[in-house]
Parts: sequence; structure tokens; C-alpha cells
Amino acid sequence: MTSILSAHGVGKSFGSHAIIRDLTFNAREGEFISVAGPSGCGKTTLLMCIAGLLKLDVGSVEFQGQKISEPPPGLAVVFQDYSRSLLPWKSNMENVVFGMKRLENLSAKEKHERGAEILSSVGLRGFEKHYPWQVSGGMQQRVAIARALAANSKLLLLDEPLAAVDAQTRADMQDLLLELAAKYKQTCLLVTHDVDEAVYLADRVIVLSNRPTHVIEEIEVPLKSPRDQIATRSDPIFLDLRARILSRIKSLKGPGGNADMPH
Amino acid sequence: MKQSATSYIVRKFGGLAVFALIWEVVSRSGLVLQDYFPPVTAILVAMGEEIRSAKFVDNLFTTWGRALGGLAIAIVLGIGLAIIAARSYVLRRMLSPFVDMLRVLPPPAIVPISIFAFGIGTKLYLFIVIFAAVWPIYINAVNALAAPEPVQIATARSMGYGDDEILYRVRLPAALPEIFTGIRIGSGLALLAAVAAEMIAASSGLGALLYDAGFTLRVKDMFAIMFFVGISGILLNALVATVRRWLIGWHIDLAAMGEHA
Repeated sequence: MTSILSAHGVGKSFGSHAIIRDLTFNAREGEFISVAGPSGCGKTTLLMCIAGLLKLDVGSVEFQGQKISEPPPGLAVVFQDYSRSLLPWKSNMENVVFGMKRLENLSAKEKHERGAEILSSVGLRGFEKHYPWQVSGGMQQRVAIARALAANSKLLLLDEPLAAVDAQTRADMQDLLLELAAKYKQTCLLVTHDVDEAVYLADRVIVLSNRPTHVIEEIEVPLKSPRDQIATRSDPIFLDLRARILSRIKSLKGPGGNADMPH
Repeated sequence: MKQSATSYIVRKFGGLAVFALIWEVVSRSGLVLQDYFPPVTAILVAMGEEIRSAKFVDNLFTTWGRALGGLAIAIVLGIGLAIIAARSYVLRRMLSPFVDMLRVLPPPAIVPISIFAFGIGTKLYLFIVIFAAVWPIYINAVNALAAPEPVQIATARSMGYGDDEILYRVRLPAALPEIFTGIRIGSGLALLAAVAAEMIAASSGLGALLYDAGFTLRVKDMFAIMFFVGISGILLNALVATVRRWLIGWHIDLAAMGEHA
């Protein structure tokens, strides 16, 4: 498999606070990568840098062989806070169509057809005309995911997308993410503080250190696909990896203290 | 919830009806001089006479035209200025003392200087109305535009939208609810300023008629014109509310949902 994304020697500071230092990793095409690390270690900053939304101080990020300096086509971001990333004056359909900015060759009608297809594949058929604030939190995050897919992206950056939804919805959405990643041939980079989720979803888990953060371990996840909420989670491989990553993160003494606690 | 038409009318106009009744009773009781405090019924009769006169209706429309024309320009100017100022924190800070100083000047205070500048005529009235209405629109707009939702901006940028597109497609729509608060305040000030300017420096419009009626001791006419100014305020507010519902109905529904939750 070819590399779609590579970060090399990335460094980023805010003023005198070093957030990221000499961070390097690669993502292969079609891979699902989870990025786990202690709270406040700079996962979101890393994601913003990869998305071209923040400038790097040193190092480089290459996406599809191009050095990123501003948000590149083919890369979409889903933020944790769906209620603030969706546009409340637009219906769910209009929000999804808003994500098709770069599909300039599509007519308005074709964009709506594409929007309807994607909304239906995230399970929101019949909610096209609703406003985001008229549907549940889990459904809003589905709209945000649909909007990201709508851009016809190759790489999906997911910044704790499920942190704000309830546990039951969360399990359903994890399976939905895997299904969508396969269906739309996405390479996924998921930032999460939830180690179970990181292992459950990923082909590979990247473990980050405390700030200034860098990669301390890359762990292949040899669990078989498709994943299953009950079978996968009771698989000895899953339990072993989970324990290994948790203890690795816990061993990091950092500013946050309780390294495995959500922030 | 749907209410019956009767209960709607009672809630909307019940307070006014009680107020009018008390007025009527007090005026007719002999406790006050009826010459200076005529009963509501007599004022209503005077209003009926006024509204049948073509000359009065002309004057009414003149005032509406000045208030609405000035308001429209103030909306464009206020939002335009806010779009420019929202780009620069330094510029906002530099403008802020001017805005705080100018917005507290009562419209009549700027009439003399405006006459020197514009003479007496349409330009004068428009200027005074704009001057009165523009500040709340500007202040609300600049506050909203300068504090966008960072996640919305980041999302739009990652989709490939440029700064200008983000301004018109994200920041401005997001700021509209707050801008409308400014427009609502500005619309009241626009009417107020139009009438005030007409009282001092015009021979037409409700303000001029009011001044004339007052100082020629046509007390019923004076009250009748005051009532028409009040009614104009209600109509203007209804107009703004209609445009608001049309442009940001989503926000009204969203806010209503919060109230019932």
C-alpha cells in the first residue's frame, strides 16, 4: 500500500509552550489509524496542523505527495463539537451540500442527489430538511460526517468525533464509521482519548507522549474485520492491546496527572 | 400552541384597552382640565378627521419615508462599517470611543450643525435619521462579526472556502440574529429622530404637525398626532419582525425550542 500522508519532524509551539516536537509518522492509503495519548498532549493541535489549519514551526506534512501549507483538497475534518461546526441556518441537506465546495463540476441538482445518497448512508434518510438542532446529538454528528464525506475526500481527520455522544449511540457510530470508511474508501486518522475505541476501530494505533508530544509507539492491530462490538471486544488480542496501551499512557507522568481520564 | 383569535386579541390589546378606559374615566371625572387632557374618545374622533384629510396622510407618509429611508441607509452603513472594523482589532479599539461619544448625542443636538451642512431638505432629515439609527446596528454587527464560532470557520476553511466566502457564507449569516437586535433598536430610533428633526426644522411630517398643533393649543389634534406616531412605531416594529422572520426564521425557531425545553 502506498503512503497517503506523512508527517516528518513536525514541531509546533504556541508562544513559549512547545506542543509538538519532532513528530513523525506515515499513513498508508485505506488505513484506519487511531491516535491516542494523554489528555492535553496536543492531539487536536496535531490534527489542525495536518489539516493545514495551523502552520508548522518546523518539519513538514505531505498529503498525496504534496507539502501541506493550507487546507488541501481531498482532506476533510470532523470536529468533536458538532453543534458548533454545523451551520444552524442551513438544513442537514444544505450543510452537506456546503461541504461540496470543491466539487465545482457538479450542478446544484447533482450535489443534492449526492447529498441525499450520503445522508441515506449515514442513516438520515428522511431528515434532509430538518435543521441540525432539530435532531439528536448522534444524528448531528452523522450530518457532520456526511458533510465531510461529501467533499469526496480521501483522508478523514476525526477529532474525538464521538466524545460528546452517549455510550449506546457511540457504539453504533463506531460501527458506522468503519462501514463508511470502507464504503467511501477513506483513510482515517482518528484522535481519541478512549483507548478501547482507539483499538476497536484501528488497523494501527499511534501512541503519543506528553507535551511536547511525539510518537512513542506504533502498534499494529491484528484484529480481524469486520469488527464486532461483542466478539472483538472480548478477543484476547483486543484485551491485550488495550492493556498494553493503557499502561503505556499511564506510565507517562505529565502535566495532566490522570493520563487516561477524558479531559 | 394555537390560541383562539379572541384570546390572542385580548392578550395583544387588552392592556391598551384598560389603559384607554382609565384615561377616559380620569379625563371625564373633572380631576384634570379636559382642555389639556381630552378623553380618548375625543382623540379618536380627531384621529378619524386627520386620517380622512389628504394633507395629513401626505405628512404621515413623509415621516414614514424619512424614517424608513434613513433606516435602510443606516442598515447598509452600519453593517458595512462593521464588516470593515471586524477585520481589525486595532481599528475597532480606535473607533470605539467615537462610537460611544456619537451614539449618545440626541438627534435634536445635531440639527443645527446638520442645517449648516445640508440646508433644510431631504438630505438633512435622512442624515439625522441615519445618525440616530446607525450606532446600535453597527455595535451589534461588529460584536457579532468579531466573535465568530472558531469551529465553523475552521470547518469552512478545511472545505476550501476563502476569507471572503467565509465572511458572506458563514460569519454574516451567523451574525444576523444579533444584527437584527441592532436593527430593531435602530428602527425605533429612526422614527424618533425623524419626528424630532421635523419638530425643529421642518414644515412637513408628523413632527412639524405635532409642534404646530401643540403650540396653537389644538390639544386634541396634538394627542391624535402623538397616537399616530405611536401607531407608526407599532407598524415599524411589525415590519422589522416580518423581515426578521423571513431572514432568520431558523433562529426564532431555535430560540423558541430553548424556551419550551
